[in-house]
Amino acid sequence: MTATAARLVVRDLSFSWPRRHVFTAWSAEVVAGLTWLRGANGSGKSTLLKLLAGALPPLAGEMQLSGELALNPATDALAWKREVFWCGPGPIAFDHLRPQEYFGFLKGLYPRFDAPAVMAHAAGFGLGPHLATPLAALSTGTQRKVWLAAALAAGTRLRLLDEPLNALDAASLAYLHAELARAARQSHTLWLVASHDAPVDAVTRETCHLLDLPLP
Amino acid sequence: MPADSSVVLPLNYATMRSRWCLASLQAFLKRWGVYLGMAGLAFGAGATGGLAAVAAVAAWTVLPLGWVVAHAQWTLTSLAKLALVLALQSAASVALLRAVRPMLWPAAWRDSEATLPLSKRDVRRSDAVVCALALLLWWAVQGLGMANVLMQNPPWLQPARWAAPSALVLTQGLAWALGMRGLQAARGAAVGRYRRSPASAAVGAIAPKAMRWWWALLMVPVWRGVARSLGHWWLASLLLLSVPPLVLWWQPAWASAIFAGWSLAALSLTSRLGHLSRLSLMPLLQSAASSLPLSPAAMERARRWQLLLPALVGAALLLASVWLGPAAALFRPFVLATWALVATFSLWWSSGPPPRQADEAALRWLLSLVIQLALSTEVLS
Repeated sequence: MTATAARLVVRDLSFSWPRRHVFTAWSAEVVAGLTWLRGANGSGKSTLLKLLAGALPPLAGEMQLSGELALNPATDALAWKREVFWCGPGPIAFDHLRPQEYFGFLKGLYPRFDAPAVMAHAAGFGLGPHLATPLAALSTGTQRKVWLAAALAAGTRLRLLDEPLNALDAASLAYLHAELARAARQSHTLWLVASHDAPVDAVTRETCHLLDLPLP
Repeated sequence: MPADSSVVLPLNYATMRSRWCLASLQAFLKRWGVYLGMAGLAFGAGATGGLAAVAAVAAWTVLPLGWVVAHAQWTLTSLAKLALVLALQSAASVALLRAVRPMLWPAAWRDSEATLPLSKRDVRRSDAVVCALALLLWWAVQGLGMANVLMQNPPWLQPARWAAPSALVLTQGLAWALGMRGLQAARGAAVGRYRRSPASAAVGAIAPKAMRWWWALLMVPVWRGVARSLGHWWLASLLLLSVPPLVLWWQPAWASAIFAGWSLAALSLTSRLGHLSRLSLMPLLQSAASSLPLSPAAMERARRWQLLLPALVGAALLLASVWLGPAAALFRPFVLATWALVATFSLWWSSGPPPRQADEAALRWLLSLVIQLALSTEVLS
C-alpha cells in the first residue's frame, strides 16, 4: 500500500457538557506524525479525543481525515471509526476477556490490525505472562499496557491516546517513548496524544507537533 | 510466553458480549438461586413431587394469559382485558430485562463501544443475543408452564388450544423487541445528556458550605453520585413498605396477610438495598476511611441505618395504624411487640455484611422470615 501523508482537519467544532461549555467553533489541523495535545485540567483534551473517536456527537462542526480517502464521521461513521483508534485514560472496558482474546476481538474490527505486531508490542511491554489471564484480574497498569499494545498495532490512520503514560512502570514507559518516537516519523499515521507530560523523550521532542487547548 | 500471532483469533462483538452476559447471569443466579428456589417451593407447595412442584409453579406464570385468551370475546371489555393481560405478560419479561440490564450492557462500556467500528446491525444483533440469553430461562419456565396447562387439557382451554401458546409467543416476542429497544434507548439517553444547550452563565466564586460527612458520603452519592441505583431502590422501598399500613387501616381483618406480606417485602427489599449499597457505597466509604479522619465503625453504622430507614418507617406506620386504627382492640400487644423485635433484628442482620458462606446467609434469612410469618398469623386475637 502506498502511504500518503495523512491530515486531520477540524472545523468550527462546538460541544457542551450539561453544565459546562467546552468548544465553540474550534478549528485545528493535525498533520501526520506525533502531536502532543496539551492543556490545563478541564480544557477539554479528553473530550476532544472522544469527539474525534466518535464517542460523543458534536453540537456543530465537522472533522475530516484526508489522505488516500477523505472521511467524515457525519457522513460515514463506520468508515471513520475503522480509521480511528481510541485508547482511553482508564482501564479497558471489556475486562472479561483475556488479552489475546481482546486482540482477536479488535482484529475482527480493524481491517489493518497487525496481529504479529501486537504480540511483539505485548512482549515489549512485558505482557507475556499475562496473556492468558482475564483483564479483570490484571492491575490497572497492565490493562493499560494491553490497550496501548493494541493501539500501537491497530493499523488505523488516526490513533488517539488519552494520558498513555498513566500507571506505567519505568520499563514500559521507555518502550512507549521509543514507539512514539518512531510514530513521530510516520507520514501515513496521525498520533494525537493528550498528556500532561511529554510523550517522547527530550531528544525526539523536536519532531513532535504541539496542539494547545486553552481553557474554555 | 513467546510472542506468537497464532493466538490472536478473531472474536465477533455478539460472541464477546454474550460471554460477558453469560458470566454475569451465572453469577447472578448463583447469588439469587437460593431465594428463587425458596419462592418456587412456596408457590409449588401443594404439589405431590419435585417435578410436579416445578410444573405447578411454571403453570402459574401462564395461567392468567391462557384463561383470558380462552374467554376472550368480541366485546370492548373482553378485548381490553385481553390487551391488559398481554401487556402484563410482556411487561414481566421487560421488567426482567430492565433489572438485569447492567449484565447485558454495562454503562462502563459506553465510550469504548461508541469508538469501535461496529455497524448498527452488529450492535443490534448483539443486543438480540444478550436479550435472548437473559430471557432464556424465563422462556423455558413459561414454555414448561404452557405445556403443563395444555397437557392437563382443562375444558375451558378447549377453544384456545392454539391461541394461548400463540399469545405467549407474541408477548415474549414483543418483550424481546422492547428489551432491545430499551438497550438502544439506554445508549441514546447516555448520549442525549451531552446535547443540552451550553451553560449560559459563568459561575462566580461560591463560598464553600459546611457539609456533614454522612451527607457527603451517604446521601449525595445516592441522589447524584455513584449510588443512584441504590437511591431509586431506596425510594421504591419506602413507597412499597408504606402502602400496607394504609391497607391495614381500612381492612384490619387482613392483618395476618398484611403483616406476612410486609415482612417478606421488607426482608427482600432490605437485602437488595444491602447488596446495592455494598456494591456502590462500600468502596467509597472504604476509601474515605483510609484517607480521612473518620471512624470506619461509625460510617458502617450510618450506612446500615440508611438501608433500614424505609423498613423502619414502614414498620412504624404499620404499628401506628394498629394502635390508632379503628380495630386496635383486636390485636395482641405481646405478639406485636415480639414481631417488631424479630423484624428489627432480622432487618439489622440483612443490612450487614454477608456471612462468608452463602448457605448461612440463606438459612438466617429463611429462619427470620419463618418466625415473622408465624408471628404474623397470631397478631389478631
